[in-house]
Parts: sequence; C-alpha cells; structure tokens
Amino acid sequence: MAAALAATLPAPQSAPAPSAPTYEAIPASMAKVIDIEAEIPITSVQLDAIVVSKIIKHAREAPGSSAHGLLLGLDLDGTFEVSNSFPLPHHANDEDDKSAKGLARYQGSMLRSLKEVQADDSVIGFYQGMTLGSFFNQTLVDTQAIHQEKLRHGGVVIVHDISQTTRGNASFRAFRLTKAFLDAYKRNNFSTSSLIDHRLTFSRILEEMPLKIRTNALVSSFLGALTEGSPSPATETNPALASSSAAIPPSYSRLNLGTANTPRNLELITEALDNYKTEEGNLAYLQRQIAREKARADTYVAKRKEENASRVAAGLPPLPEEDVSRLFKIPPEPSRLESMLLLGRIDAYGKSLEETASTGLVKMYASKTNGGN
Amino acid sequence: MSSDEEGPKQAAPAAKPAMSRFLKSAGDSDSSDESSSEEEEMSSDEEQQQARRPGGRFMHGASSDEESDEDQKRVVKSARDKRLDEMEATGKVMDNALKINDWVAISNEFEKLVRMVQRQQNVAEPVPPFYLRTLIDLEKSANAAVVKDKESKKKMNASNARALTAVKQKVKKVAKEFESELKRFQEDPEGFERDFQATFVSEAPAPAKAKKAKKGNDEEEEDEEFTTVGKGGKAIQFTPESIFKNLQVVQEARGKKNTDRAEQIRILEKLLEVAVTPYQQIRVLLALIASRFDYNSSVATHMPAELWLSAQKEVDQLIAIVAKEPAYSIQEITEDYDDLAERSPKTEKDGIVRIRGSVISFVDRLDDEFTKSLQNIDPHGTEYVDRLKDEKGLYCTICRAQALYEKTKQEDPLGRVIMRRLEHIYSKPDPVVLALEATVATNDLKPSVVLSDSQTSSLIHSLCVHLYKSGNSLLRTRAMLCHIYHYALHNDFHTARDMLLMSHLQESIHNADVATQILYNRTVVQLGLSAFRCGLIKEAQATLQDIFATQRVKELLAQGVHQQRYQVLTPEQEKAERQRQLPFHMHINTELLEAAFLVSSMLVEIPLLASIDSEEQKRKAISKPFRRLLDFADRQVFTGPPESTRDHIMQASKALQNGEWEKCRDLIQSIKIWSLMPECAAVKEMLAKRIQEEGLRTYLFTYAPHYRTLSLSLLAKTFSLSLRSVTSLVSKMIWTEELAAALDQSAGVVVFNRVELTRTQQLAQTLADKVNAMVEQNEKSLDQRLGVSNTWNDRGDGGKGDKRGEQTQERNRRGDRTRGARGGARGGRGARFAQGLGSQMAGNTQRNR
Repeated sequence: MAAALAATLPAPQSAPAPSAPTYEAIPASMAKVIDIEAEIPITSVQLDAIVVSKIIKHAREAPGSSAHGLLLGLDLDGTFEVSNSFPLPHHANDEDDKSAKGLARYQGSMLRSLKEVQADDSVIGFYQGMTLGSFFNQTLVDTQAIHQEKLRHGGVVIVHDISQTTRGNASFRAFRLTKAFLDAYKRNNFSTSSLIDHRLTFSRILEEMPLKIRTNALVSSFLGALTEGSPSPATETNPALASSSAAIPPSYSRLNLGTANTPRNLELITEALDNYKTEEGNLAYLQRQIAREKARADTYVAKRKEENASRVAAGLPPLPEEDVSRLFKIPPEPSRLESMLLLGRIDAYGKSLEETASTGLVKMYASKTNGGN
Repeated sequence: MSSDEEGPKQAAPAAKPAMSRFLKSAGDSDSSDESSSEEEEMSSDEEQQQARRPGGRFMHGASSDEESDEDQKRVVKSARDKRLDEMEATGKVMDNALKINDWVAISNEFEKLVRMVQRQQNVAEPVPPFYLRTLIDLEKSANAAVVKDKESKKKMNASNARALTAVKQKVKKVAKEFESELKRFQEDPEGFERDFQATFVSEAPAPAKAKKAKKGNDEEEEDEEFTTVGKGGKAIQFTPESIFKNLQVVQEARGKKNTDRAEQIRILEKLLEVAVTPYQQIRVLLALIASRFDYNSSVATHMPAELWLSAQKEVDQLIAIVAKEPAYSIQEITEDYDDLAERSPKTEKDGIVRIRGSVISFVDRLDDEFTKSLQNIDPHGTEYVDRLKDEKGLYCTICRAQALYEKTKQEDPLGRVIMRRLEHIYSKPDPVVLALEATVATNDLKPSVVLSDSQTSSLIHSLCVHLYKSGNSLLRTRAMLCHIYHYALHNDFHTARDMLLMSHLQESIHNADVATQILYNRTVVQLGLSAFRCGLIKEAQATLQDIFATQRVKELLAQGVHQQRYQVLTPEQEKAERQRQLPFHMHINTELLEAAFLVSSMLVEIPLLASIDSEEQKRKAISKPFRRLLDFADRQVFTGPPESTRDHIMQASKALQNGEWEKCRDLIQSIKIWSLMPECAAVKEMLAKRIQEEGLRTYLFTYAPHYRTLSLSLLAKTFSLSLRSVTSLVSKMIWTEELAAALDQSAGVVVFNRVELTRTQQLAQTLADKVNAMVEQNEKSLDQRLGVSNTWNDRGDGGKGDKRGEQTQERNRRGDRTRGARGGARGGRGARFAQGLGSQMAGNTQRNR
C-alpha cells in the first residue's frame, strides 16, 4: 500500500519555480518565511481545528484503530500548517494488490477534486488512529519512510489516540522518523550490530515534534457556546441534590476509577507480549541456523587448511582456498525491526496502563482515607 | 604313478561335466525336490573344485618334476585324507541305495564319486583302490539289477530304470578309462593296495583305512567294518603324542573359507578323548570350545542347543581342571611358548604353566549365545521353556567361573563374571532365584557369595557391593541399576528411589551405552510400578510419565522394534536393534505398565481437571498421553461397553468426573491385566480406596461453587469414607489452598467462601505470568550473552573468564535454590540483572570512547 501511495504523491517540489515573476509577487515581509528551496528546517506542526474535528470524527467511526488518512497543507517558516485532511478507505487485507490500486486511484481523484475547488491539495503527511498509546507498526513506519523521501521536508505523521479521546482529552502527537532509523531503513539492515551502530531502540525510531492547534475565532466561539450550554449531568439526573447544595454541585464522576479500558488494555498487552515471544522464538531459531551454518563453514575451512598443510608437507601444490560463502549459504542476519516495534507497542501499552492504574490507585486511597475518617 | 597314465586322466575332466549334467537332467525329471538339493550339492562341489583347482594345477605342473617339498606335501596330506573320507562316505550312501534298489540316488552319488576321483587325479595322486573296488561292485550289481528287472514282472518306475541304464553306461565308460588299473587291481588286489600305500609311506593312516576296509567281501559286513575301522583308524592317528600337531593343524584351518567346522569339532572331540595330561586337556578344551563357538559364522543366527550344551559342559570341565590344578593357569596374555611341546609345572621356571586363553570370554560368549537363542526362539512354544531350563546349568557355570576367579584372585574377570551372575537373578522373582541358587549349592565349586537363609536381597546386595568396590565404572553403574531394580521389584520403593536419586545416574545416563540405557529405562519403569503397588500414585505417575511421553515404550525397554513412520531403518540398524532386544521372559508387561500409568494419571489428573476453571490453565496437562486419550474419548459419539484396558480406564475417568466413584471402581477393578500384578488383590483394594478419595476431591472441586455449606457426614456417606478421613482430606485441600473454604467443626460442615475473580483480575494474573516468563527468558539470554562475551571480551585474561563462569554458575544455583521462596528470588534476580547491565554498560562506554 505504501508503494502505491507513494506513486500518487507529487514529486518533491524542490525544483525552483520556473516563473520568475512569482519572486516579485512575494512581499518582502514574507520573503524570509517562504522558502522555495525547502531550506528552513521544520520544527513544529500546527493543526487547524477543522482537521482535529475531522480526525476525531473519522477515528470514532472507523472500526478499531484503523482510521487513516492524508494531511494537506503547507510548510511555512519551519511550521507545518495542516489546513485540511481527508480519510482513506480502509481495507481489511492490505496485502491485496487490487485494494492498494483502488486506494491510489481514490487518493489521486480526491486530490484532483480538491484542486478543482481551489482547496489545499499538497500532501504533507498522514494521520493514524491508535488505541492506548500504541502506534508502532510496520505500515506506519513504511509509509512514513516513503513520505520522508518523497515529500517536502519529509512529511509528518499525526497519531491520534482514540481511547484517550473517549476519556475527554483529545490526544494528538506529531512524529517523524529519525535520521538514524532512516539510514538503517535505507540499507534495510536491522541486524543486532546495525542497531548498536545506529543506537536504535524503539524510542528512537520516531522523533516527536511540538504540535499546536489553531482555532479561528469562529470555532472558538462555537466551543465557548458548547461549554456554556451543557449543564452538569449529575445535577440534571439528581435535581434534588442540585437544589440542596447549589454552590458546589456534587459530582461523583470524579470518583470514577476510569478502569473501563483496563481489561482491553491488559488483553492488548498480553497479546503484544505473546507476539513478541513468537518473534523472539523466530529470531532465536534463525540465530541457531546461522550459527550452525557458520560452524559448518568454519570446519570446512579448517579442514581445507589442514589438508593444504599436509599437502605442502608432502610437496604437493596446495588446493585453492575457495570462497566459503559460495559453498555455504549463510543466511543473512534476521531483521530485528519487527521485534523492536513490538517492544515499542508493549512499552506504550504499559505506559497507558500505568497511567490509568496510578490515577485509579490514588482515587482508591483517597476514598479509603475518607472512609476511615 | 607314472607319466603314461596322465593321458586318460587329462581327458576325463573335459568329458565329465557335460555328461554328468546331461545325466542329472535325465535322472531327476520327476523329482524336483531331490533335484534342488542335488543342485545345491553340485554347486557346492563345483565351488570346492574351483577353489582347489589352482592348487591342483600347480601340483599337476609339479608332478612332471616328480618332486615336491615338505610344505606342499603336508597340505596335500590333509586334503587327501579328507577326500578319501568323502569318497568313503559317498560309497556308503551308494551301498545303502543299492539295498533299496534306488538307482537315482546311486547315479547321483556315483557322479560325485567320479568327480572326486577326478580331483584326486588333478593333484597327481593315484586312483584309490576303494574307488576301483566300488566300480567293480557297481558294475556287478548293475548288471544283476538289469537281469533281475527283466525277470521280475513288476517293472521299475521310469526314472529309476533310466537311472539304472545311465549308471550302467557310465560305469562302463569309466571302467574303460581305468582299464589298466582295474586289470591290475583284479589280478592282484593286495599288490595294488600295497603300491597305493607305498606312494604315501610317510602318511600311513589314510591308506590303512582302505586296506582294512578291503577285507570284507560281503557288503553289509564291509559296511559295519567300515565304520568301526574308520574310528579305529583315527584312533591310531590321534595319539597323545600327536595331539599338539593335530591341534596346530586344526588351528591353522580355523577361520578359513572351506574349513568344515563340524569336522573340526569332531577331530577335537577325539583329541579330547585321548588327551592325558592336564596341559593337553586344557589346550584341547580351549580349542574345542572356541571352535564350537565358531560353528555359526553369521551373527544373526544362534547356536544350536546341543552344541551350546556341550560347550557349556566343556567350559565346566575346563573350569574344573583349572580349579583342580593350581599349577596351570589360563591367561589372556602370556609369554610365547612352543605350541608343539608338552609342558608341565616341572618344565616351567616358577612352577606355573601359563596357557593362552580366556575363560571369562567363554563364559561371556556362552551367556550371549544363550540370550541370542532365546531371542530367536518363539517365546510361546515349548521349545522356549525347554531352553529356559538350561539357564540353571548356565548359572552354575557362571558361579563356578566366579569361584575360580575368586580362587585365582583375578579382579577384572571376577567383576565381569559377577555382573553376569547378577544379570541372571536381578529381575527374577524369589522362587526362581532360590531354584537357581539351589543348583549352585549342590555344586562342588562354590563361589564365596551364595544364598544364605533364602534372602535374595542379601545375595543381590553382597554381589552388588562387590561390584561397587571394583574399579570398573560401567560395572558399577549396571550393578547399581540392578540393585535398584531388585529393590523396586520387592516393593521397597523408598530405598530404590533414594538409591536412584543418590546415584545421579539420570544426569549421565545419556552418555552411557545403549544396553545400560535400556537397563536404566527398565529400572525406572520398575520403580514406577513399585510405587504403584505401594499405593504412591503421584510418584508412580511422575516416574512413568517420562517414558510414556515418548510413546516409544516398547523400543525404550528393548521389547520390540519401533516402527518409525517417516523414516525407514537401514537393515544394519534393524539388525542391531534386534540384537538388543531382551528375551521374552525378561520383559516387563507393557500393557500392565500402561494400565498402571493411565490409572495413576487418572487419579492425578481428574481432580486437577475439576479444580481448574480457565481455558488457559486447562492447556497445562500433567499427563499429556492421558489427556489425549481423554479428549479422544470425549469426542466419541457413542461409547460401547469397554473392551480394552484403555476403554476401561477412559470410562472410569468419566465416571470419576461425574462423581460416580462406585462405577469407576468397578470398571478399574474389572481390568483383566491386574491379574499379572503380584499381590493383585491388595493393589485393587488400594485402588478402590484411592478412587474414593479422589472421587471426593473431584466432587468438591466440581460442585463447590454450588454450595454455601456442605455437611461432612453427607460427604462421608456418599463416598463411604470415614468421617475422619473426609475431614482430613478437606482440611488438606483447604490448607493447600485448593479449596476456598473453612471447616466448621461444631456444625460438622464445610463453609465455602468462594471469591470470583473479575475479568480484569484474571487478565492481570495472566499478564503477571507472561511478564515473569519474559523476564526469565531475558535473564537466560543475558546469561548466554555474558557467557559468549567471556570468550571474545576477556580473551586476554583467561582467569577472569573462568571466574565469570563460576559466578554465573553460582548465580544459577542461587536462582534454583530460591525459586521456592519468592521474596529471596527477587533480590537475587535484581542483583544479577544489575551485574549484567553494569558489564554491558562498561563495554558500551569503552566502545564509545
């Protein structure tokens, strides 16, 4: 899918614009900010409110954490300004060639239509829904790696945590791949030594960028109206209570431990652990295979050397030392990328579990002390 | 023997084969049976001829020189003797056939005779008078037969008549060839005989036979004379003086391709008869026993029983002689001595005659041959039983050998022979051992260790102790295993188990040879059975678990060849496998074994199955084979009445699961195979009791959630157990936290306080398990990693690496020790982890710099 996506992306717009007059069109005040050569490094991401709401809506409607779409916008003075987005259809079996093609066609036609209505049509990245803080997976990394090559400034990934959002705090994070990872990725070498050389762990695959949300006045006022308009649900359901203590409406929602998600979280982490274990098993198997082949090759070389020594001693010409790698197929060292990503997921699940558990614990202790008094 | 005779002799071989072949096909057109055997004879004869031909040719060439040196002559002599014997034998057969007028047989035999004579001529020897005489006789009787045939009304059958004419023609033809000799012979038989003899003055015996044989004219008389004289002739040959010479001849022929082994044994037997001095006797016996063992050249077949018996007798005799005459000693390594000289204690320097040989190897071989014959005999026939009776004699021989070695104080063979003795008795029940020992007691040569006051254990014990003291570690191991086996057989489970655990054999048994591994397997299995008999169900299950998990019980106990599904054994492997098999009477009944295993599995597994509730835990079975069978039985749509042992056990398991302990008990007790178990009534009773107890446990596990309280007396009534035992069982379950309940003594009830785990809690528990497993895995790989890094990081200073290795070992041990106590383990683990990280980090920083 990633390849298909990449094919439809516009070529990097690093080529200088052919029309000279545009230079003149840029006002002096903006001359510093607009970099046609893409020279100013990107330091932050800015989301428009419309994008935020679109992503939230898409993520809530899409099954699981499969929400996935493209971000449109511009880069201006070291900031990605994301002004629009559109969702991409999700296919259950990504491997299918047909679905990938369909996706590409849809993306192309969408971008064309946007252009026709004079909306933003330059892709600057994609967004991805996730649950419980875990967003590491192979597709994300692959797609972003392609974007990083094709897009201006390498593009950006916005991940959106659905589970956090249901709890009331919209969670958006912006990432891009680190140089070290990209290097290793380009060489397609994730062996142990390469990981050590690049000093790669799961936390160093992506680097986070600061993200801010820009709301225009209209949206702000709409939000203001929303907060004012909704009365507290507790007071509504319990009017008697509300009337008795009007000053501070009692809200038991604060005592909610927020453990609704915990079983799911536990299940996911167990699953991830299982996957990791299988992956480790595969790796160990491959390692053993390599060790065996190597041992065989070594014995062969040693034998040949011995034979040559005896031949030399007997006054015969030594046999040629053949290329061992040709005789023995030593399998390449297994890629540890998958296990690294799995570790990242386990870590993320663990963190979110810790978060809910710790708040829950605090609340429980609080209620306990209250009960004691 | 003159050169002018050579003409016709030369001509003969060319003409004969074709002729004979034709005759053969003519002679046996109707009797295929005969022809096949005859063909075999033919081919073997031809082979012999061919084998001999080079020599013959050589001799033929040499005959023109009329000169042969001593060596050649000697070779010729023995060969000639043999040929003459052969001729006489065929002559005899012909005579016999004549009596019953069987011309077909005569024809065949005559052909053989002609061929033999031809061979004789090839080696330039004169025609033996015996042959000529036979020729004349045959011609006469053939003519007579033809006449008779014409006279009698009843005709001979076709093939016989045809053979008769063939013989007649043939005789005529041959007679023509040997015309001159025949004439000479008829004129002066005595003179011819003398001439013939004269050619071999130096080698008198063979012609002497012919001379004596000649005396009788009547056929029958001659026949009798013939045999007796033949013996007499040999008796002359085998004088005490010539024993060594004969021995040497036999020994030279040993192992050669065309040596007739039976003949050799016969010669040696004769030699033994004439041997006078102990030295001679010993020498002849050594050769004789060896040649008896040589009789069967192939490894696969076993020795005939008669041969084995005589070999056993001779070994006995040998031992008796050596034991009686302390001045003679048989050793495997001696100084060179002259084989042909008589020796006695007086001629030797230190008064001891040392003879090369090995009694222990004979005893070993005797025992091995015995086992081999048992392996090959069908164990369900009477032959097997008969053969088994010979074990007594063999056991006696072994004991005598032991006595001998005790007397001569040879430690190494003594150990081996004691091991043999031990192997004969360790697996046998007491009465058998008593019987064996009784025969030893009647013997004149007794070993130091015999059965005293019919305590087999003390006998085994003393034998084993002797072996423990010996230096040979293999014997020690085997003795230990036999000892354990014996204890297990006598239901002394705890002693046997302690011995097995203390011996630490389970760590090193993988490096042992196959036979010892088999013994080990047998011992373990027997241990399991003994635990079962003692009512120690858990122990029995755990002991038998390993061997049943492999699903190759028969193969591991060497009681049958395993059929591999995906790979085919090479013939050699299969042969080796077959040789390893135990004889049938040593077998441990695998069906009984399986029954014991499955029943103990049932008693362990069913309560366990009832106690667990989550799907996750269900996967962890204690006994996989049992679980598999149970699952299979579960899937069965219709279950008929039980037939096999397995059916019984599976249905019993179901009944136990449903709390119907009485049905379960009845099913288990109706298994027929228990009758093979010693003290089967006691075992059944024990099983019934266990089933009651486990039934109670299963019931509690299964139905506890449905009760708030449960009366103890009701439980006692349902499972017909005493209130006391019910109380103790329930308390035990509460104590081991299998049951969340409390005992209310005053009301006589169990009060359940069951807490259901929420989904979250369950998940958290599994997560904890998983994480724990992962940590352990990580530590393991870290240890491995450190082990590897030892080699490449600290190559400069080996001492440090060693220390590191020790540390890891020490750490592992600590881990093992503290695994039980969780708190302790934490600290140890943390320390280990820190240590590992520290070294890693140090390495990193160095590299960074």
